[in-house]
Amino acid sequence: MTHELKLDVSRVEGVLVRVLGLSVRRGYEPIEVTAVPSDDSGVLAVRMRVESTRPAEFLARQLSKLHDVRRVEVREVRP
Amino acid sequence: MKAAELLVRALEQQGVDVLFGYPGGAILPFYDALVGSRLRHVLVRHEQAAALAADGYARATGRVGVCVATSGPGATNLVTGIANAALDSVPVVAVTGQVPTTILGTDAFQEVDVFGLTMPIVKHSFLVRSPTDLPAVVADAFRIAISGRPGPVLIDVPKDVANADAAGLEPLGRAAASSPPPPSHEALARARELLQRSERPVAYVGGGVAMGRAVDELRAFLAAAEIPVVTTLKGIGAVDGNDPLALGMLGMHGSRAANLAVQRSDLLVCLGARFDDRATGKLDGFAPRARVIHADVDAAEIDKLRRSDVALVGDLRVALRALAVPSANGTWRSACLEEKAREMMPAPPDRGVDGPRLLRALSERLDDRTIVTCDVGQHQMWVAQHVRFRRPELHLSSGGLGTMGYGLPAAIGAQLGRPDARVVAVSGDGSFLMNVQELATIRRYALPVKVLLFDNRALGLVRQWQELFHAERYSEIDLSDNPDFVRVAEAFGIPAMRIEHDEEAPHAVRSVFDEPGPLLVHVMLDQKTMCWPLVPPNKANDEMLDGEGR
Repeated sequence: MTHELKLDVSRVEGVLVRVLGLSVRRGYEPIEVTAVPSDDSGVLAVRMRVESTRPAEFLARQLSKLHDVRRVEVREVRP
Repeated sequence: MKAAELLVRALEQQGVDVLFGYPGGAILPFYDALVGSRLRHVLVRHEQAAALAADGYARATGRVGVCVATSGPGATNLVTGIANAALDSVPVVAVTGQVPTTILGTDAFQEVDVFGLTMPIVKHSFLVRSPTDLPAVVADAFRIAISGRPGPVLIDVPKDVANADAAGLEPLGRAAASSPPPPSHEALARARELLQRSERPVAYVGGGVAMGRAVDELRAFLAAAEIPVVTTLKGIGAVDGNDPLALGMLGMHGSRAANLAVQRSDLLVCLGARFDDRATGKLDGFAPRARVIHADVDAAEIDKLRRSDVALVGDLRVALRALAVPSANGTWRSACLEEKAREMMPAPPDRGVDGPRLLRALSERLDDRTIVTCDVGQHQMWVAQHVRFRRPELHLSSGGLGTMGYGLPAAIGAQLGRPDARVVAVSGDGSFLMNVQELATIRRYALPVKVLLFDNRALGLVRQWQELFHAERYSEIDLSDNPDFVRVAEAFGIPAMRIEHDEEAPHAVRSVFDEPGPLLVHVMLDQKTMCWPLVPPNKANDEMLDGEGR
């Protein structure tokens, strides 16, 4: 399955490695990633497509636990 | 004032009294600032022991454990201890020195990216780039470590930052845990209804109950609901081990009564536990007819391995208060208690001391101020099976990571956190040598820690698996060339004795309880010790082997 997630994360040291590392560790392989700083500094808007046999919601819940992740949204799920 | 001094003051401000560590080049400014501070620094003899002692301190006291190491090898040596705290959800703050920012990323002497290395095993981490960040970083680190599901937090401090001027900066006040939200009213009502409608309910208690400070609420719930209760390794002691309805530990080395109750249940009330593979055995054969109420502070645990019928996410205390209603039917209760009454001690060994019976004798003398720490292996499972703990903070065992070498440093941490306690480290001959250097720490600080060293001259649990599941092809499990442990202890200045027969066991137990100072008791076991029962890999928990008729 391919899942698309959208995250708002704090723009701090290591945050992208944290998000991608957690995703891979939990069994979600990122295949497309964009990160754009938002206008009001301090936030990075991340869009990520990942492949996995596991549900997107499980990844979203783990990502939500990261201290630097402010918001997670599962955008779409495709078989 | 340098930033290093600000860091020391910030730790004081967080209520830290003891920290465990080992100095080195990049952490020199911190050690300089320690001189004259209120903090009591305990010099261990290997950084891994600093992290594990901080873990033991945290579990025994309920406060944050703190460890310190230098950059490079100091930091990498902490990694096992940090992972141990992560997998058992223990609040630990690790402070590491780092090479100066000016040469960071240049493969400098003793440079290692500990911030990157530990990312998968920390709850959060900070690389401090400026003294002005320090007050908030320290307060945040402590708040994150203790809030919600606890865990380890790393603070990596480059040497030039530690040496920078921090004039005008002040530490922030003591961090408080953010309180978890209560579970929803609707979910609580549905859970109560499921519980009252169930015929064969079982409470399945994990480490989250103690971590969520919900032990009193758990006991009130069990008193009201009167349902049979099983615990995970980390849940031991949350339920009073002497409670008649306590059926013991479930899982791979769980009691027959606990595993059968779970397998036959029609409702599992999972409280601060996470359906770990050592607890469930073959997952799709676990409690096959049970509905599940899953109460946990960590939303990510819900449905992770077993789908729940009702999820109670948030404060366990609120969940337990709401569930404290009469429920179980008497027939089911009696059936579980009859199964418990049928439990038998494993057959005594052919030679040497009978480890399980020695632990039973130890258990008889336990009180509310005796802490038992374990290493990893057969002796650890025997402690879980045969020692009855009244409180969770009296049983310190490495559950999730299964860290051989945990027992001795954890005992040191527990003893320093609870100077009034009697601390007994139950160890095995394999595990003990992984952190044996900490006997020097026991000696240096005159800690009255007792070591009960079970020696079968083998890696017993690995040997057992090779015997049962690898056609007796024994591979690298022989430790018959162990050192003379009595002389090892004495070389460190620790009194020691050896027992080889059951008749000597009462004297050994008396010595453990009555000797005022440290003591190592070397307990000689049969080399072919086995730990029963055992659920074989990929089997459901009712397919346990009990050692009979092999």
